[in-house]
Amino acid sequence: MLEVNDVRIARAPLDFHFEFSLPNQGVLLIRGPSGEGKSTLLDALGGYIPIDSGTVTWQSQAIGQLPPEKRPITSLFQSHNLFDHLTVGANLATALPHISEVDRKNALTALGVDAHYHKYPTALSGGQRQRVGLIAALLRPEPLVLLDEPFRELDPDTRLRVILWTLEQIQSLGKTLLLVSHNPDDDLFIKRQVTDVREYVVRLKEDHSGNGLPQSG
Amino acid sequence: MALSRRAVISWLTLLPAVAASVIAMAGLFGARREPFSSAFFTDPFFVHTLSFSLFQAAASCLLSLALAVPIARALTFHPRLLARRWFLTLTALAFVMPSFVLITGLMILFGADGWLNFGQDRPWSLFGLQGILLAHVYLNMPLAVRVMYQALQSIPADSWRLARQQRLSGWQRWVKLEWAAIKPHMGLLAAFIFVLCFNSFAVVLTLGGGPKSTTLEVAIYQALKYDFNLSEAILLSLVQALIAGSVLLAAGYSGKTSLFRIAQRHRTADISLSPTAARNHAAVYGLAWVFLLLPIIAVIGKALGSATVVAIAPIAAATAQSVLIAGTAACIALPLGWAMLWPLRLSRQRHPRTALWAEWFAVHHMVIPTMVIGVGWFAFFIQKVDINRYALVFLITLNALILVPFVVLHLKPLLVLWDQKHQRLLGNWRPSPWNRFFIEWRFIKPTLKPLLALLLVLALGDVPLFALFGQSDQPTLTWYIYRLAGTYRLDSAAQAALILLALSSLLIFWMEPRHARSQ
Repeated sequence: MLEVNDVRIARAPLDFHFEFSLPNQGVLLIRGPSGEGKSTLLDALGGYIPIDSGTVTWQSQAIGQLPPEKRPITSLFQSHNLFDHLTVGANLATALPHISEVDRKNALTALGVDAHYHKYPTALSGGQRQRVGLIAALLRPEPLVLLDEPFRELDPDTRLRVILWTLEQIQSLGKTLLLVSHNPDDDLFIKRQVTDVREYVVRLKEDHSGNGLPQSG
Repeated sequence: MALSRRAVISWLTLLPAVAASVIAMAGLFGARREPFSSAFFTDPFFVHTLSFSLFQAAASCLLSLALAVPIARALTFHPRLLARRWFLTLTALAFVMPSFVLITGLMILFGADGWLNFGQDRPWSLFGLQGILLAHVYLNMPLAVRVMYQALQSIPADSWRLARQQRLSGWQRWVKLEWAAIKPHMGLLAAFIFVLCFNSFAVVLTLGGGPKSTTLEVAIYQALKYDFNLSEAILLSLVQALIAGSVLLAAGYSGKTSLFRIAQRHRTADISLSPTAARNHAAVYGLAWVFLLLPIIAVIGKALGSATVVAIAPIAAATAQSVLIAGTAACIALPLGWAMLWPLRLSRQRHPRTALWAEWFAVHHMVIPTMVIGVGWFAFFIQKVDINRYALVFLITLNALILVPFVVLHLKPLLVLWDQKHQRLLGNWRPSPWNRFFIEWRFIKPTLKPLLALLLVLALGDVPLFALFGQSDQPTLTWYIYRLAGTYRLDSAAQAALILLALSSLLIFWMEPRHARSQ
């Protein structure tokens, strides 16, 4: 179980507040308008920005103060998910040293990017880079996966294929997924595929503490 | 907050640089010497040497800057200059040209029987203030040209168009656009050139021509090597370090401005250029070519035109010695400088003030004159080890330490950018330390070639350290040229200088962004 209890992050002039829980192997869709804290939430869970108060626990262990590399979490960011100076193959070998080269290539084939194994990320389209990044994030050993708009740059056909593959991996590897999405169709599709999907809406609201600044929660 | 183990280890990487300075300071302050007498500072020799040092540095600096302005403007405004990129490469070569190559060239041109010394009855003398200024302008004006050209290139195309549209006069354009772009770099540039000239050793040693035109740097060397007066050398070193360090610090030196990098692509400023103005720019450009090429042509001409050929064995030995010292020093400085960026990178985001300290420790050798570090080490070790026996070790170690700041300044912007972009991905993928090193190595590898070339050229040109620690029977190429030129064997000096020039030119060509080919 992932528990986010009364987590507060002050990033002037905004004041974010998060609170939710998610059972093992659950899927959480994080929604809300742009700029209201979705990426901040993922960054805080990943350990890339410090939290000011509150606790984050995973399987009853506090993880909120651990450095990123010590957390049971892997993330897919909105950009910079690959090293531009390493080929796709070398990137995957760096991210996924625990699985065989054959398995890495199979994953690329499943998402239709196997022809780019020896290419550098700069030679790929945004959607192709995103798919390689997704493979690197999903097949890592950490049990919690945070995906920040992972399907944004994909065309409609590829999109469904990639979402299906993602859900398959999540289920077969027993992962817990937090997913930021802007696309209601994607959300609907995911809800049809997975029985227990939770939603968490991140929204700034008027502050009632008297400082006049908006809060997220 | 307690420092993590990683942070503690990272700060240890700064130990070599800090230890080198501590040793130098211990040497300067701790050596046994005569009781200090304040009379030294009122001694006419000291007063004259100090004022001459300051005066020649200020004059060299002003002349270099003033002459650079029209050249940088010509480069920016003339739409069709022949071989512009080659000219920029020539400025790089001139700036790092080993002093004795230039001095040999100048002696061939303006020496007593020089090619261009036309005064029959009273030939113009190269020795004295005029020779020092000439050499300093040759070495430093090109740097000023590069910085000013770079600054003018950074003016957006829209600004030039706007200036045209608003019918700004030439003077208004200079004030509002050109000077405004150059000004932010001027303080640091002027300070840098002033300090380079103030610390200049080889030029003053050879072209000074006597105690009338001597500087602190040369006086330190003479006190140590000829008068064996350690206490005087130490006092002079302290004054030298104090002045040079204060000037650079006052100019806000923090390694923020890259003084050496040049844009890959040239953009001609969009201004209306009258035919006269175009001719003037072309003339300035042509004169600059002549000025920078003449000493090089003189060296080549003299070397190839000479009937006698310099003895091969000693020159080959000197070349090997130079390459050994410069190559080893560069290979030590590279990983050392890279490692010294570690504490800065770790603390940059959350503790910017700590990061500034880390950077200062990593580059502080830049503001301490080489001669001062050298004298400090000399004084520290003279009683403890046989300096002659370990001369090579001292030369390599000190040259490497002097090169470290160049590595730090070159790699810092790259690695800071790398961290900004990839820090989160590294946290996410958790590569092993070895893997992490490998990924970063692959990233910086393409930029190491020009860096290595710069380090090699700088180390090949070293004079002060060899003057202090070198063995006269195992000279470097630079020192060998000095000995030949110093005894007026100009033919042989030119031939030795040609080899050093060829080595430096190859390295500079290798280092500069690709040439006219890509234009």
